[in-house]
Amino acid sequence: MSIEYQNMTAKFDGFVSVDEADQLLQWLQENPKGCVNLADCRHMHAANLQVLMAAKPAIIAWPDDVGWCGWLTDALESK
Amino acid sequence: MTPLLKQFIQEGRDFLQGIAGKLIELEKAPDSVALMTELFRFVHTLKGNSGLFEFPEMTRVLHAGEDLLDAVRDKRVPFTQQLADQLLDAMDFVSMLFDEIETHESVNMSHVEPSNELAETLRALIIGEKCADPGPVASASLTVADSLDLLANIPEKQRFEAWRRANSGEPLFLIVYRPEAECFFKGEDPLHQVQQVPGLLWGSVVARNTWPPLTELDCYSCQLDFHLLVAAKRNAVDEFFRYTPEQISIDAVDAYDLVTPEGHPNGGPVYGDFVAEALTLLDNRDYSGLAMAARTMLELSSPEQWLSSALRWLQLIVEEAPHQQELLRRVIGSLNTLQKPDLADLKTAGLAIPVEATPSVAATTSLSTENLEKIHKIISVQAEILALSDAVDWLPGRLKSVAATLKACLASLGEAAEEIDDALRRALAENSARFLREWLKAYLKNQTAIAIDTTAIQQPAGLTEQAQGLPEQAPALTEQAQNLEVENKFGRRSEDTQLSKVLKVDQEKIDRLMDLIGEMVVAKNSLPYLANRAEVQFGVREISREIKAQYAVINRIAEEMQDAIMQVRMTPVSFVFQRFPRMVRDISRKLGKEVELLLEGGETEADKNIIEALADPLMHIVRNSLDHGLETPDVREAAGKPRTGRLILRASQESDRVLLEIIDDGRGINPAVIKQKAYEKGVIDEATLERISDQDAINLVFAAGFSTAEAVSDLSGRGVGMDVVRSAIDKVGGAVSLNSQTGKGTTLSMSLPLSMAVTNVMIIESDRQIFGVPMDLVVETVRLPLAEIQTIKRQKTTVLRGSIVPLVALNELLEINAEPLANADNELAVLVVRVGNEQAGLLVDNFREVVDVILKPLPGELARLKSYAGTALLGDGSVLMVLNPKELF
Repeated sequence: MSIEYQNMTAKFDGFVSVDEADQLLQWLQENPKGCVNLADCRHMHAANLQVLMAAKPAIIAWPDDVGWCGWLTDALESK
Repeated sequence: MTPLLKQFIQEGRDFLQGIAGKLIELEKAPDSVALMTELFRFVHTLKGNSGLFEFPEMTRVLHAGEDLLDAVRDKRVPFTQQLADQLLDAMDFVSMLFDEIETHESVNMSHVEPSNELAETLRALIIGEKCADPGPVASASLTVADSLDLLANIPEKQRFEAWRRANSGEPLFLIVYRPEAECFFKGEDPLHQVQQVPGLLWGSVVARNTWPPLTELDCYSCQLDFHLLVAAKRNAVDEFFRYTPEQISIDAVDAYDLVTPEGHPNGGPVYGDFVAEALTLLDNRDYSGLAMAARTMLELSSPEQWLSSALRWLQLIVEEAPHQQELLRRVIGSLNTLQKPDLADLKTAGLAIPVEATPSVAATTSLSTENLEKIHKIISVQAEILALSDAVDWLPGRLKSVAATLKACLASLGEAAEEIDDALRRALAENSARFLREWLKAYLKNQTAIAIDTTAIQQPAGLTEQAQGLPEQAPALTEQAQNLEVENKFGRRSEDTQLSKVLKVDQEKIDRLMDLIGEMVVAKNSLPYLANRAEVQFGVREISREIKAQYAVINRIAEEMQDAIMQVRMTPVSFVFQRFPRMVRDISRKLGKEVELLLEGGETEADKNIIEALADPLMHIVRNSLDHGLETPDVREAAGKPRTGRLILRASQESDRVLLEIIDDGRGINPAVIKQKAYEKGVIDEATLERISDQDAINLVFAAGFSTAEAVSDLSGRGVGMDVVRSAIDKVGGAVSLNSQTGKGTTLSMSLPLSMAVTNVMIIESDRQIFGVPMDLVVETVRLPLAEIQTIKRQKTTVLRGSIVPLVALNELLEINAEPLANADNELAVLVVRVGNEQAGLLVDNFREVVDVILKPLPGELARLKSYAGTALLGDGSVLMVLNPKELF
């Protein structure tokens, strides 16, 4: 399981594949106030990113990798 | 190789042939809708098929070709010879890819670039001929204004880096990657892909549209666009995106566009003094002083401010490229005006711009007429663009780009451009090009009234009138195109069912079938022997009779089978003819000759092997005719002939042979020249030179090593042409002859057997062995009384029907140590055979029957025994060696 859903937080872990997008979308629909923890996320498929971009959940932690984090913050932080 | 790929290659080649044929036909009848539709269908199908495999290079070129043809079909682009040339080139490229796929099952990466170039040239024809409709291809592309906006979004740090890279000579590209919505289903992860782009400096993911409510979101339909800034070679980028070139747009980025300070526009220290000081330092070329001053100033300012950003740029440029005086001057100037430095004019001028270059507005008066004309041309093109249909998704982008172009034109003409903004706003609001069109029309009218440059203006004025007429037509045209599309689809369906009746079979399978039938024929021939044994050896007559009856049945079936398989192998001569229109067209154009090619009797059929064996010799002959035979138009005219030369390829059937004639009305062959050349090259000696007849002289061109061309060209003249022709024709049992009349033309005739599969041979006996002699070489069989044989200079001869025939014993030729046997009446058996144009008598022991055999060439090392044409199996299982009399003597 590369996304762990704990209470109100979705914790991304390692490589998050395209198959997760469906469930992530459903979870975000059911938990509009859910947060996302990306600290341990090393890559996510574009489908997941697109769900996050559309749902705009609060991101409570970003990954360490500067380059990867740059892509995510650019896409997910409201400009 | 998978069967699917095999079939693709097979069909693909057919399609290419068809495409080339149609293109050439179209050159003669450019208005033919039927031809065009068919051509389009070929290219379309081939493209579709290529998409099944991973050959993006092939698909890309074909796709571009298809788009171009689509434009031609819709009459947006006229069909020209140049266009045909381009398409033929593209098809040659595809054909080369086919060759490569056939040998390696893959396409070398080195073809990426040529394929892009070809696709671009093809596309350029669509856009170039009638400027503009970018079509769905450019769906991801940007207008100038958009790309500037995008660049401004890039954080300063990355822009600094990009500027540094550009300054050190690396090309910069702004890529907009718009993956198709279904890409997730194809296993693509665009987010992962963009991170791997070579030379990536900056990237950003943006939503294509505003996001729908979560409940309506389809998470598996890609709605993301990617904007990337890379410093890499163009071909590296192209290669990276080789599978999806249509989903990206790549624009070169000008380093000057990066120099855009960012931050809060207000506050900070007063810069007036600094600007004056900096300019003095710059004039004195004190770059370290300038850098120092900038640094000091930076320390005083808050880093978020716009001015600080401008200072950082100043610092960077001073450090990296102090020679860019004008750039530095503008950046310093911007500190004063608080406006982004306007570097538009530097872009084109590049680094070489002189320091004292006048600002753009002041330059208007000094515009040369040439430049004026160019500007007017640009304006007229905008009018054309505005005249296009409004019913496209990318209309806003198009309008913006037209407005931006017009504004830039007016700016360089020194005229006010506010009205354009206004017109653009209204046009965008109503989604119609009308407002801009009206503005342009008014502007152009105004211009003509002032009459600055009447010639340049008239054209645009005319265009605007056209522009008014067009929009009404345009929707109708697209509708028509859609209809055609629909018709086409249905057309294909109905054809598909027809196609299924034709079976495409690999030639190997047919060959195998033929071999099997051959063995069947041989096996069947053993039945009479069996019947004979049953009767003679075992004395059971009944059985013998039954076997004979069965034999008759099997014999009939076997013969029919043989006939059927021959029919399958029959190929029309047009199979080799079809490559000539293209070849003649290319070569004659290269040589500057005008040639009309007539193909006659293309439906004449012969065995596939014969037809294939014909291809190369025919090519040689046609090349020879084009190169040596036919004259240039001027020479022809001087000789009182029509300017256009005529080359006829004629095929016909005469009993069991195919006749092929290649007739040209060129200068013919001059026997005197041939004699002289042949003598010089040592092909004939002096004595022969004296007595050789003109006809024989002409036949000398078939001699090995003979070539009359003065210089070796890539067409002919290597001295291998005609003797290769003769030996190739000989090999399949054909004959070739040449007739020529000086000044009038040359006719080359070839006669070939219809089929090589079954050979009619006569069996002869010599020294208790049997041999076969092909019947087509046998003139007659005679029994000669020993008394009628005379010896002239130790050579046995006889007189048959008034002519002298030399006699040679077969035993002697085969080095069998035995004398020919005479029969009871003291007569010798003489087999008269044709050798070349002469006759010779072979002394043998006895004649036997004539049989149909399947001649198999001698295998391996034995093939070097030229005196045998091959072997055949006889009904009793014995092997018959078939002689090749031409090589015996």
